Amino acid sequence: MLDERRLRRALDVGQTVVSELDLEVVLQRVLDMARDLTGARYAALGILDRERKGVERFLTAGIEPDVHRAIGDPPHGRGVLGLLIADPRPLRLDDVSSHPQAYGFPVNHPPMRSFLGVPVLVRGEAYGNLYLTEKQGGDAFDEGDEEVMVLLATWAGIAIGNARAYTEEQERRAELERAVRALEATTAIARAVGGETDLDRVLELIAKRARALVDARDLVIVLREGDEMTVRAVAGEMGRDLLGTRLPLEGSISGHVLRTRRPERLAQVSSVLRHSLSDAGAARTGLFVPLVFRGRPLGVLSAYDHAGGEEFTAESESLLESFAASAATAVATAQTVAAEGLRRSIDASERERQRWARELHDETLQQLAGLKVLLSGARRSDDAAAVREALATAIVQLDDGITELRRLIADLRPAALDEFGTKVALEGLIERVAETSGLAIDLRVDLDFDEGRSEERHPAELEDATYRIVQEALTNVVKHSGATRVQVAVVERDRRIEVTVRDDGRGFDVEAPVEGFGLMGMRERLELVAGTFSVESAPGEGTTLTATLPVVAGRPGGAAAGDGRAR
Amino acid sequence: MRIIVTGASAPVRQGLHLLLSAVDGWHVEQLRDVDHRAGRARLRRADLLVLDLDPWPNGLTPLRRLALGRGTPIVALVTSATEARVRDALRAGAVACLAKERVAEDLVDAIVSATSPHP
Ligand SMILES: Nc1ncnc2c1ncn2[C@@H]1O[C@H](COP(=O)(O)OP(=O)(O)O)[C@@H](O)[C@H]1O
Ligand SMILES: [Mg+2]
Repeated sequence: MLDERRLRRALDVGQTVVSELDLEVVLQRVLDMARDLTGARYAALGILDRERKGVERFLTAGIEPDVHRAIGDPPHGRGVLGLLIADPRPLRLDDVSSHPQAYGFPVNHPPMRSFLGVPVLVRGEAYGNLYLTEKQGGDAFDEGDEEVMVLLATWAGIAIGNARAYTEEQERRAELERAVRALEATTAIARAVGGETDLDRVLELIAKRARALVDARDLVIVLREGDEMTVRAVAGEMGRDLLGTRLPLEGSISGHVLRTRRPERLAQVSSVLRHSLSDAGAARTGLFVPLVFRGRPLGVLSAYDHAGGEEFTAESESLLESFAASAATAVATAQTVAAEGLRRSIDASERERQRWARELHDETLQQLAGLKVLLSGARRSDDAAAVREALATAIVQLDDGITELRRLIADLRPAALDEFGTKVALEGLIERVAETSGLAIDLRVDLDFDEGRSEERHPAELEDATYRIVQEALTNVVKHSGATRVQVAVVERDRRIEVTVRDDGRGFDVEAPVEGFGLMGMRERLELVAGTFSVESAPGEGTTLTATLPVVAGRPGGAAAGDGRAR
Repeated sequence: MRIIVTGASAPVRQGLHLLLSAVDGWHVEQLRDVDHRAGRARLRRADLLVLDLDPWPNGLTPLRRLALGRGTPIVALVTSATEARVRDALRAGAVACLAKERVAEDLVDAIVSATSPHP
């Protein structure tokens, strides 16, 4: 029978055991308590394997470590221990070695006679058995020992169940956290990258995020370019002078990762890499994850040296892998946009060049050839009056030619734009157009720099784009509209330039599919500076063209003339 | 010999007039508009036409029409005597096509050979 003292002890024990959540602590505490409650010299817990036929783990208490070592292998669960496995009911023996099922102890095993075994069930299923031997004081275990052990075993079962659930939960939570972190990093990249399509900027963002994600000292992004790879972004302590470094596909880790499309974790970064990226020479550990978009390997994220000093874990690897998936999408998008932008600007400038060539031929060259015919004739002639007349014609021709060339040159690159800025250049343009076309043109220019509200001039591309839009719009007004009045406004507000060109001419159907190079060129030009473009018109209604150009960081204004702008 | 010079550019016509009038026995007239009624009558009496095709390719259409007439030889002039343009002019009916740059050196010879009876 359980006396009150032991019951109280048992209840205390139960409480501490059940509230414990770390499985290993639970198990050890159960063994200690079992010895304490029964006075057993030795206690053991045999945890069953999956099939519940043998012992997978054998924990002991009361056996000195050197004795433990001397015994050797833990029991497998045959003999008397096996009895409890086959028939999970409490078993009490005066002398365990005299039991018919006993195998006998190994050579260095301490002598054990009295024995008490009770099964431990967890959520109704056999988990293992608690074994006690050598009741101190020499007597065998009694009924009271058995009862208290059954109680302890019950609590142990509950505690183990709790701890297991908790561990699973912990694992689940860790997994969940991993997933959340990966998701966060992914959405962060999506958000940060967002509308960003500038490849270098995208890569920089990815490098920074990836480095933070896996706690690396350095993170390097290499992209495949033909049959080589180039370092395109660096985050961390490595120098930016690494940018542009080329790596061979053959014989480099990145090349290997790119080819296999599998991540690599290295405890010791190879010498190949050390040669290629001299700054990485100090790096010890590395984690390499491929950037793959729709099966196409774009490049590699290489993380060097975990900030904690230890190697990168499998967890870091899977984190970086899921991050790399969305990063690859951003990179692929930016690459496409970059290529597309390049193609377009080449197209646009090629068309512009063709137009200049045509104009030079059709206007200037023809005029010069005609002049030569005229002067050749004059040279052959004896008729003084006719010769004088021819020379007068030639002078008029030359004047026209000079004007024409001036116009063409202004068209190519308005000198005023470089020297005096947008406002003066636009005034010059309006004057020329008004003069040659007879149109009445109102011009309103209100730009921060020209009005002294800003110290910064806009970037050359932006000034160029603003000027070209007005120029092309006026060309159309002259050519197509038959208008008498035009209003041109170029106004900067809230970091945006709005260009409006409104004529009172015959208008046209904007839905009609005919769009020449003029309107298309304007649209493209605005796309290149991330602006917007629209035309409002209807036959008989006049035409209003509106363009907005976002203002990006400019350059110091200062004396405009001769400021050596690189074009 | 009666020669008519025609084309859109007045200075070119003026220069051709002076150049060809310097040749003994050549009578040269300028004609601004080949479609003009009075012009057509003069064209009928001409032994040879010099036609400025500029601004290219505006002169090709009148060249074709004139070449379909009574067989008056036509010498065409262009600014850039590229292979393609010369071929276009000859196909349209010109007996020769010269670059304006070479007019002082080559036009008289071209006219002489265009009007000489062929063997
Ligand atoms: N201000 C305008 N007034 C009337 N029609 C216009 C105007 N601007 C453009 N259009 C019409 O739109 C067409 C396309 O213009 P554009 O793209 O500049 O080509 P292009 O000037 O070479 O014809 C023009 O041919 C014309 O019919
Ligand atoms: Mg146009």
